[in-house]
Amino acid sequence: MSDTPTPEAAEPSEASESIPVSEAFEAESGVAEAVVMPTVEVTESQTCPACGELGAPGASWCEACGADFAGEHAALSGPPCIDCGAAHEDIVEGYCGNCGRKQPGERDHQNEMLGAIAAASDRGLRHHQNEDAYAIGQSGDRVISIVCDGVSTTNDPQDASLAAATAARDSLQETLDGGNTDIEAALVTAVAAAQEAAASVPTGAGSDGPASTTIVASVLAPDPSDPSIVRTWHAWLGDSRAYWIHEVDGALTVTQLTTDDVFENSITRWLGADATDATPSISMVEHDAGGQLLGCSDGLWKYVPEEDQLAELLNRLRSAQPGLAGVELAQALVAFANEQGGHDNTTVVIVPTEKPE
Amino acid sequence: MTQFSANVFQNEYLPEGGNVVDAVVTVTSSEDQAGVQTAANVPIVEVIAVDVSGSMNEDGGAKIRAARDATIAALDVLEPGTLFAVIAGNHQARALYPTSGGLAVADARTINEAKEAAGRIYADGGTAIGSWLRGATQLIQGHQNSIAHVILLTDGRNEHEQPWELDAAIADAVGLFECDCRGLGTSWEPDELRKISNALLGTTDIIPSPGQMEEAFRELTQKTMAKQVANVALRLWTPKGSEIQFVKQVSPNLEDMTGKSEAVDALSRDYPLGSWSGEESRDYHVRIAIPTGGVGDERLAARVMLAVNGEAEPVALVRAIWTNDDALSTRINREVAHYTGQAELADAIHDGLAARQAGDEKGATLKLGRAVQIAHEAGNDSTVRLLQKVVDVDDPKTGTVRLKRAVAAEDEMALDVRSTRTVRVERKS
Repeated sequence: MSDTPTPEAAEPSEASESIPVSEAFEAESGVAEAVVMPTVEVTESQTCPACGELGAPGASWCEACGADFAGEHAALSGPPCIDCGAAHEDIVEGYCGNCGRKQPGERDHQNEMLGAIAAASDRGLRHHQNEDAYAIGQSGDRVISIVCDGVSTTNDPQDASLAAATAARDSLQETLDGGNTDIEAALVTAVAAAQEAAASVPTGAGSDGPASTTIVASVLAPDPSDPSIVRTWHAWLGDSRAYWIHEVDGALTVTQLTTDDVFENSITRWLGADATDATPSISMVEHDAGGQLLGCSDGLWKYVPEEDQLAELLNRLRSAQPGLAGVELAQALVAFANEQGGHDNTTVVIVPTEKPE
Repeated sequence: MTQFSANVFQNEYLPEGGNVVDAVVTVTSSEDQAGVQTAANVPIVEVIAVDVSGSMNEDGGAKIRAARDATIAALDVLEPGTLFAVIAGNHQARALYPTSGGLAVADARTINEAKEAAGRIYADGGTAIGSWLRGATQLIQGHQNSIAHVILLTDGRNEHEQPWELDAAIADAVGLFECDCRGLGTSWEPDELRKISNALLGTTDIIPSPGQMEEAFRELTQKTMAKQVANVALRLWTPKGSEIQFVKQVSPNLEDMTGKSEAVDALSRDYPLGSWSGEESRDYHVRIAIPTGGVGDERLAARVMLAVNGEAEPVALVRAIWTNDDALSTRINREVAHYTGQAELADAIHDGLAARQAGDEKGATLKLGRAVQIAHEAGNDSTVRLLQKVVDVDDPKTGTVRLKRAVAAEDEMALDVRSTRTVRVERKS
């Protein structure tokens, strides 16, 4: 088995926690060189980096597995197993080499800011992986937001959603950067690129259908001549949604900008190798500047399916934490979904606009 | 260069609290696909151990003539350079060729000499199969790194040695060579030969009449000539605290391998798969009990590796994902269900034949009827045909059958020894 740590397992926040441990070992070996007999000043019990057993305070080797703390197990390159505490180097291709537990993937908990655009995507509490994906971009004063939700009952939906979101964003970026102003045509081209990418995901060995995903691709652009107006364009297949959030008389209200392709709890349209019709629905809506575009997967809206329910949630979050915006707002929405049970992956993209002076 | 790859078929979803994972692992060898690479040009050893006991004179000498012709046919398909020997076996083993007791290198001269020696085979004496295995062991002992195969033919029971002598001879041969056993006629004991072939990673089959022996020997020898890789093992890494409940080969035939494993380290075990040709595919059903996890957790239930001469490469993962979505956790994997059915089929045949021999007509009718039903459902036509020689089938769908009054001994034996042959699930390409 390879001892090569995988990038998947490297969680920056947990990696930093491990640094003091390896520093302690370095200090220990330094003392050993100087005075021959190590005088170790470790008072707390320590967890063996090799097997996860709790060892005696100050031990220089593990009584459970014999690992020498000053030797090959001294240098930790990442966090230990989240389940049994086995050393990071025992994690092989994302799975613990001791207890087999899958380690958190880099898509499990994502937060991102790009300019004023905020995104959060989360595995939730009940799914073993995050099959949602998002992609965001900026072209001048125009903003690109893509949310995709891989269909759980297909093979490797997480690959389809990521491929589709990335392909759609890249296509829009290229078209918009090229100065194209026909945003509806740009969205049709972008969804075609997303369909091609989703359909190219290998079929895999499982017995499910080919990888499939929803998509909601949005472009937000201010009116070139009237700063009080912004427009949003949307292209979608499936049940991922876009909303407009705006303030009326001091309270937030919500307007849904997309319609779900759903019949009896199942989506009727999607992207993927077996998509029968990958032509997206398209809408364009004019808004007063100052509102926010919200793109999300059903992991969020299933808990607040009606516009006024989502509005109530947003008002509640704002009154609990005045000024809540950007990535903190996106994270708060994800946290809300997880508090409700986290039954699905949740992805949120928020694009704020400026109210003219 | 022979390379190995593997596919896993399973329902990876477990309900909350569930801890048993079933998977079918298909292992395929090929000449060009990406996978584990192995060195070519492993020497091949073929030893033919043919029964020359007195009973081979029966049938007006047809059996002993067939033994001569079949041995000659096998010698004719040896590739030049093959190391080989012919053992004449009765109550003891005699080196028929080469008489010096070693292995000969196949070339025009040695093959001709061996064929001449085979043409002079005569029958007398008793049957001590363990002594034939010991003879083969002595010949092959110095060739540990070869692909070594023994064809063992008997027409009778192991009457002239103690059962423990046969057991000891088998134990000495494990890991040294593979052995395919063939019983000529109906006076041999299937359990005796199965014990040998099971331990020595081979097969047991009936050769109903002397006329079919030549073809059987030729086919077995050709199969050995096609071998490319020796000492292949299925290595299973399973997590701490788990238990491998069984490992069975389920295709091309059923063979329980659970007790044959060797520990590699605290969490890994090797299950010997013997030698492989450059284009083979075999299926294995594994069942592993693992420490349970919470809803949304994923745990590796097994990392499947292919080890060739101790060098292992990971080829596939068996996974467990806990879910509270019943639609996922209650899914039945087609391959796992199919081979579970094929194992039930073999058991039903075994129990049905045992009931029939014990005079329990009702039990035999029920069991063999169930066997017909499973074999029919699974599309296992060759087993249906074997069953039809023992029962009259009124309705294969419901398993309604009547026991035949008169059943030929060889038909009953053929059903017995071939009941473990399986068919594969039809897969979408």
